[in-house]
Amino acid sequence: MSNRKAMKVLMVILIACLFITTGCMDTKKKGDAKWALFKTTNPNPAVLNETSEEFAFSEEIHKFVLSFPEIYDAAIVVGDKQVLVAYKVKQMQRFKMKKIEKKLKKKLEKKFKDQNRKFTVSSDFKIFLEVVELNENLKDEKYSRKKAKKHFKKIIKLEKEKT
Amino acid sequence: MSPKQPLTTKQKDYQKLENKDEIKRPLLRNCIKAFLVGGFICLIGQCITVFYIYFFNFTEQTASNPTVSTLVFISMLLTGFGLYKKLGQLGGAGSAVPVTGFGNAVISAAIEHRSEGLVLGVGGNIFKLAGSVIVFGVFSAFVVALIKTIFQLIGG
Amino acid sequence: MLKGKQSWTFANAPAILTTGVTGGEMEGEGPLKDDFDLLYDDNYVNEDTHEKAHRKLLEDAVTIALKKGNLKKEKVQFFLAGDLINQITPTSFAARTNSIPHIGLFGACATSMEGLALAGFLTNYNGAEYVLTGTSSHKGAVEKQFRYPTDYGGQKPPTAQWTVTGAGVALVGKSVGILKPIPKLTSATIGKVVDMGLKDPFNMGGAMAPAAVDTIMTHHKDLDHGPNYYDAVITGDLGQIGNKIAYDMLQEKNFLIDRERLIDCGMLIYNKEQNVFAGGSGAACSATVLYGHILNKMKKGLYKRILFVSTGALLSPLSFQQKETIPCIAHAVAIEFA
Repeated sequence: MSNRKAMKVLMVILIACLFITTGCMDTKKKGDAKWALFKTTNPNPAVLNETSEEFAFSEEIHKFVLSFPEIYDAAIVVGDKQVLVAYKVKQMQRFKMKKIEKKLKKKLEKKFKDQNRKFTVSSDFKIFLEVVELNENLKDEKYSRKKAKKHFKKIIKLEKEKT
Repeated sequence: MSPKQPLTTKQKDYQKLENKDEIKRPLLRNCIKAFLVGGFICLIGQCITVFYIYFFNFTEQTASNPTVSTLVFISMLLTGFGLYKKLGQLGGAGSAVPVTGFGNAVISAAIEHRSEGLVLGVGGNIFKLAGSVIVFGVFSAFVVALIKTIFQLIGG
Repeated sequence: MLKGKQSWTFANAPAILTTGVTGGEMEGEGPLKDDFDLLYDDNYVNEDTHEKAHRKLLEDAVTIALKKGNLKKEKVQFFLAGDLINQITPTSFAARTNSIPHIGLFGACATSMEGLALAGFLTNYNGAEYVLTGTSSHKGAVEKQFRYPTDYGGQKPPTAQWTVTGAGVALVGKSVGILKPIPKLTSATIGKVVDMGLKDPFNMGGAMAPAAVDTIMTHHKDLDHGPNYYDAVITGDLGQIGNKIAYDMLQEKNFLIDRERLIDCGMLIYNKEQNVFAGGSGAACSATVLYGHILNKMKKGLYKRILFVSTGALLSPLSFQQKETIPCIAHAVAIEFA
């Protein structure tokens, strides 16, 4: 096939791909969630059961997580029996990613063992994105709590995926 | 295997002359080009990964699968249109080492041997170039895993 | 007649009566495109595979040579040809098509002059009235066999060469009775295999230069000619690097040929913009340039006497993998336009 024809066909395929990818764009993400990957958003922690104790609990977790020197951003959602902790690790500390995850989980479980809740800890960008989105949704009072609970469960399931 | 024949003086003298007149590969320039081309391909890979994380339900861990598939797909298009070999001449190892280079090796062999039929031609020759990558990749992974296991047993 | 150690002189003036030259895509974009009889836009030449295209190019060249000479193929006694492909199948298949008694030759890229020398000898001693001789090559088929698949993105070094896609065929016969001047074969030298221990299959020029130098010097010694006897000493496919090395070697051995007289077909057939590294190569390189461009130049009076030396590298993909060196050979034929 001559080179000029090859370039034309390739251009057509590239433009087609561009259209497909724009079509796939998820417009649901609003506000801070879009920029979650690029800057420190530091959202306030959210809870699924709105009681003042839960709020206090979540604030405590938030402060505790941020106290770690390697972590510079955290998004937290507290549920009935589980707590989602998503965080971002500083670039140079990424070598110790697994160690930090283990350390954080152990310390959280030790500190809050009287709360008797399971901690799901993740440094994954996708989990962070989803948690921030969930946070944003929960800030809106009209957002269905049932949907939020479903989203919460979905995030925990996503974290468990290995391949 | 017979021992290597030592070169005669006549051969040595000729090779000295030949070395003087031969145009040498521009090593430094090739290295820089390979670095830039390889980095660029990896940059595109990273963009694709971020795309999959943002717009689909993949985590950082699971997004590597569709990224590799997409890159191999792109490499297939470029190889089929005869454009990947131009990139290869420019980038050398920079285009051969990433997974796109692996895709190119497999796909170009498949295209070339289509004339000999699907079973013996394509099937038999498709891994002509990539076969060594697979064999030595698997073998070295095995050796490294063995070393790691021994270390752990010793108590490292 | 045998002259010297390994050369023949042809007293009965065998001559190149007509030629047929075909080429592919790159050749049609090169500086010698007007010297080709038939050019194809695409290297598949309307066939399914590279190998079929390779055969077609040779068949076309034979047809053109016969048509130009107004000769039916039944009148030709022998077809001497070869190529680079395993078991020289494209040549054999082309011989099947033209049904002329066939002697298959293998000298890698040196086959063209091997064929021409033998054709001259046969016609000189009345072993034949007409002999068709030629070679062909095809980039896709050769790369597939010797190196990598066509679309593979491997990086070629600056010493690499580009295989010519095409065929060059000459109809050789007695020139007795022909009044107008035509290219006559006056002598030929059969080369011996020379191996200087080089191993790089991407540097054919460097490997073949010693063989070319050996044959050139032996020819001049056998026939007792001075270094500037010929208007040009033209090599088949040494390429830019081989040509330079050959000149330096000749100077070192005190064979003081003028620099402009030592030319190479691989350097002529493509121009710099075509990005062919060190130049063209392949069995067809020497044949297409000689039987087209060089003979045209002789007809225009630019050359009267030339020595054409085709060079070949006798390696195989297996020998290279087994870490063998590359032995090379070169055959020479002297052509005079008279």
